[in-house]
Parts: sequence; C-alpha cells; structure tokens
Amino acid sequence: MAQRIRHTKVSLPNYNKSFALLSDAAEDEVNRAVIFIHGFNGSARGTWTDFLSLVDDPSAASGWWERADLFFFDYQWDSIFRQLTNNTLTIYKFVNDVFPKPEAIGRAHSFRSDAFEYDNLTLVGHSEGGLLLRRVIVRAAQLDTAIDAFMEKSLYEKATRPDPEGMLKADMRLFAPALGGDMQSGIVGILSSLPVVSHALSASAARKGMDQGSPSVIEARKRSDNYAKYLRFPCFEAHITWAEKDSIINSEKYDRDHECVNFPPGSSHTSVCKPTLTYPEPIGFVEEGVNQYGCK
Amino acid sequence: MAVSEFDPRVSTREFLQSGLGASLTHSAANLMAAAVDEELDESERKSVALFASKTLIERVGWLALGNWIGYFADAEIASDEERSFFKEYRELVPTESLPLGLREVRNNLAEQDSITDSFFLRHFNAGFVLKRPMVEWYSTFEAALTLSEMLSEGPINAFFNFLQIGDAGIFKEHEADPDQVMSALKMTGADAFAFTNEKHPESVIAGFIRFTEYLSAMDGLFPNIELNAQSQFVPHENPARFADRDILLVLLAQMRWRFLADENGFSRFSAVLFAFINFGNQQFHRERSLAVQWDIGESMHRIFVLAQRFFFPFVQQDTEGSEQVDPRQLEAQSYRQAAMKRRLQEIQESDNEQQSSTN
Repeated sequence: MAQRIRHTKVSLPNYNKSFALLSDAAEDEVNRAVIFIHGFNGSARGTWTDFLSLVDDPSAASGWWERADLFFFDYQWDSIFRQLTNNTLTIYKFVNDVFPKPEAIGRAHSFRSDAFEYDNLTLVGHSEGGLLLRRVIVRAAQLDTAIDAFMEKSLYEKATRPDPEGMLKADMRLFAPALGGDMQSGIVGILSSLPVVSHALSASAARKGMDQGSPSVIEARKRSDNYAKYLRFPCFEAHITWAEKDSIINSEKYDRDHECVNFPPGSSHTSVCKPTLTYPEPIGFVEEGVNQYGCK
Repeated sequence: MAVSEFDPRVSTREFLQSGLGASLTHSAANLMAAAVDEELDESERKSVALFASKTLIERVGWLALGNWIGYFADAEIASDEERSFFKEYRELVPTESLPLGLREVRNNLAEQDSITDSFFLRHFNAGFVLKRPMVEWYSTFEAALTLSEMLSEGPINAFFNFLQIGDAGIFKEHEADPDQVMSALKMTGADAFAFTNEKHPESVIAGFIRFTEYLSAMDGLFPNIELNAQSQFVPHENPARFADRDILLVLLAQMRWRFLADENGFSRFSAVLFAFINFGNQQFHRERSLAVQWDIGESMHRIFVLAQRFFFPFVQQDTEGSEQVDPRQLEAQSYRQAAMKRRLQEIQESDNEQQSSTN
C-alpha cells in the first residue's frame, strides 16, 4: 500500500497563534494553498482542530490534500461591525503573504525553496470569516488594474475579460457564512456562539439584533455580485454549506453562489465546519464544494 | 508521489520553541518568579510553587509521551534552573498524587541526576512497550497538542487557578459585569497570568467560557460515538482508527492535573458553572427581545457531560451501579474497552512481527 503523505505543523513567525500544516510531499508535487479563516469568537486552533487530525487519514481525506499546504489564520475577534475593516485588511495581507509565494512560513526553516509558488488557492471561511473573505476578494479586485480597466471599458464596448491573477484565482468554500451580516455582538453574541450553548427560539420576541442593513455588509454583497456578473471568476461564486439548525445567522447567499441542497443532519452553526470521524463531509466540501456527493 | 521522511526533530523544535512546550516553559518561568514574590503570603507562595512544578511535569510529560510514540526526538527535558526549583519543592508533588505515566517524570525531575535525558526518554513508557513509531497516532496527537495550548493562555488560567485554590464565596451576591467579562476574554497570556486573578469573578467566568470552547473542540477530536456492535456509524470491520483515538485519550488524560479530581475541585467547578449560568441568564434577560435565547437546561447538561468526559471522570464512577445508568451506555463502554484491548494487542503483535522480520 502506498504510504500516506502527511503534514508537518509549523508556526508562522509573524502571525501569533496562526499556524500551517505543510505537506511532506516533494516540493514539486505541492500545488495548492488552503487558507482557513475562523469566525466571531472562534480561533485558528479551536475552530479547525479536526482538520488537523483528519487530513492525513485516507479514510476521511482524498489524495488532493497530500498536495496541499494548509494555513490556519488567527485574528482578534470583536464585534463584527466594529472590526470589519481592520480584519479585512489583516486577512488581505495574510493571504498575500501566502499566495502564490508562502512568505508567511518565514525563512528560518527550509520548508519551501525561494523559487516555490503555489498554482492554486482555496479560501475557507466559517461564519464571520466568510464575510471577511468576500471583502478581501472585493479589495483584491478593486486593486487589480486589469479588472478596473475591463469594468470601465465594458460600460461602453465589448471588452476582453482578463484572467484572474493572484488571490483572485481562489476557490471559495464557506461554512454558514454571515453574509447577511446578522451576527449578534457583545457578550450575548459570544454566549450565543459558544458550541456548548443550546438555543431556544423565543416565541414572542421580534427578531431584533440582526444588522442586515450595515453599509459594509450591503456594500460587500453589491460589489461581489457585480464582479461575479461581469467576470465569472470562481472566487466570486462561493460554494456554501449551511447548518441544519442555525440560530446565529440568516442563510443568505449572493446571486451566483452555489449552495449545498442538503444540510448536514444535526449540524449547528458551530459544528457545521468541524469534521469528525463520523462527519468527514467538511473535508470533502473544501475539496469539491457543492459537487461533493453529500451536497447534491 | 515522492515523499520526504517525517522528521521528529521538526515537531520537537516546534513544540519547544513556539508550541505548547514553549507556553508551558513561559508559564513555569512566571510562576517560579512569583513563588519568591514577597508580596504573596506563605500559602500563596506554596500554591504558586505547586503550579510551577506541575507545569514543568506537564511539559516533560508531553515530551516523553510524544517521544515514546515516535512523534518527538531527543531533547533536553528541563533546564538546570527548572531542576533545582523542582527539587526544592518536590515535597509538594508526592509521587502517589500523580497518574502512573507522570510518576516517572516526577521522579526524574526530583531525583535522577545520574541518567541523561536521552536515556530517560528512550526508556519511558506510558503503560506498555511500543517497538515502532505509531505514525497513525501522529495527527491526532498533534491536534491534541495544538488544542492544549488553549489551556495555558488567557483567562483560562484564572479559571484553573480557581479550581485549585479558589474561594467559591466570591460569586455570592456578586453580579458579574459584562464589560469586565469581555475585557477578561481579551486578556493575553501575560495579563491573564497574574496569580490573583482567580479572586476576580469576571476573570474566572471568562476563563470558564474559554474552557467550554476547549471542551467542545476535544469532543470533536475524540467524539463519543456509539461505538457498539449495533452502531450505524462504525464500520464493524474497521474499528482501529476509532480505538486509536480512545487509546490516545486515555494516555492524554494523564495531563489533567489542572482539574482537581476531588470534592473540592468538583464543588468549585459547580460554583463556576452556576455563576456562568446566572451570568448568561442575566445577559439574555437584558436582551429578551432577541428571537434567540438559550436553553439553560440543555446547555448545562452539555457542559457537564463534556467536563465529565474530559476532566473529572470520577463523577461517573460514583454513579456506577446506580439504576439510572443507561444500559446502552454501559454496553457501548464495554464495547469500546474491548476494541481498545484488541487494538493494543494488534499493535503489540505487529511490533513483534516487525522485530522478528528484522532479526
């Protein structure tokens, strides 16, 4: 039987609490970076733990993972709306620091050579992390001069669509993303998002505390939908899986997003992104998006 | 596909320089400094010294366990300064107070000057002899290591300190301030480390919140699936990967020194749990117009069940024999134990085969 290629965990020198799992495959076999962004009140370690234990398990993960380096980014959570811009910029910088050249690993170890670059990128977000990734991609598109020229020209004449460059080459995989901007903030938001907390719907209360009208949230959607319409890059057409029972967010997608038709049975807002021995679907979802068997 | 060999020196370096080992070293150093702080009284200094000693034991324990399964390489297990500190306070950590696997570690730190660290690591075993690197355990072990970093940083320190030496009275007639809980949740390792934080209810509640996140993540890593003959989840012909996790969980349970498995620990835990529930109730009550509230009973039950699995299984032992124990649970438990036993036997036999083919 062929030996399963595993990953080696390394810390990332300039990113406190963030870390990477680097494939032990020969460098020329490694072609993809997968970047994980946690959500409100989450952490790189707590939100994605089970990916660490299962990506090297051939019963749970395909050979696709053997060729991929995984990056788990940790950022300071806070009220989603107060920190949205800061976190977008921080994550934008991080993604740039990983793809295509993994500078974030640092030069202290010789894990990847100076000339090494990834060909492919997969961005994975949970909850608020999903919204942040949408904003990161919008920012990358805004800074891309070829796209800017194309969008401008398209207003008046038929223009040649540019190819995606840099992080715009990404595939986007989102678990229960807060695209509707409906996270409760403050201490109640934290308590609500704890995995051990079970929710009950108040029979009489109006749905309050949902900030669907936040300008940042509306803007992210408007711009993404616009880019998706003209450019049709995969990064603007996220693949989404929702939880079966989600009391934290509204299940709202952008126009061209693709969503799993089946909800993972028994999944909650916090558990939907966590693979386990008996729930390996999140691993397949990151690889194949809604094309995986369980989604159809 | 070409593959480079797994290099245990890399994982050892990561552990000691930036992972759990580094954070335990840092915690121990802070505690060792606090143990001679003249502002603390005698009993506080003793408590600090006890914490420092157990923190050192934990780091060496992880190193020895990882080395035993082949995940870590040879390394210095303690500095001269750490050894002298440990020797000075060794009476605080009697051998018999520790789980079997850590007794060797304690004795090495306290007494074994004559053997080298390499010799100690080479001869360490956590209950049985392994004759090959347990490669199939590495990823789970690595995930558990990564997760355990959460236990020694931020406000969770205040919660664990409280469990060891706290006064449950601090929660009486004290209404926790949500802003202070928020601030405590954002504390970094250094801020949270102040030994007296266990006297501040908000820090303890914030630490408890972090603790529940750790418990949930552990539950993902070591899922309590219905591992029994009738289970629909477990392919009967392949229980090895399930049994492997059960075995690792038993081995890792030896690092649970932070949670006192006695009546004091349990009553302090109960005090924090109820303080957390009261606090949550108040917060949701203030926001009662929200459509989503919490289900107190179910949430308490979840926390209790997880804490029981991962931190104080003695509660379960007390209920053994009681009529309330679900017979299916007992069946599942005995099936899991049998699966672990079979798996251990398989491991031993494959070791023997490997060895005889080498010979």
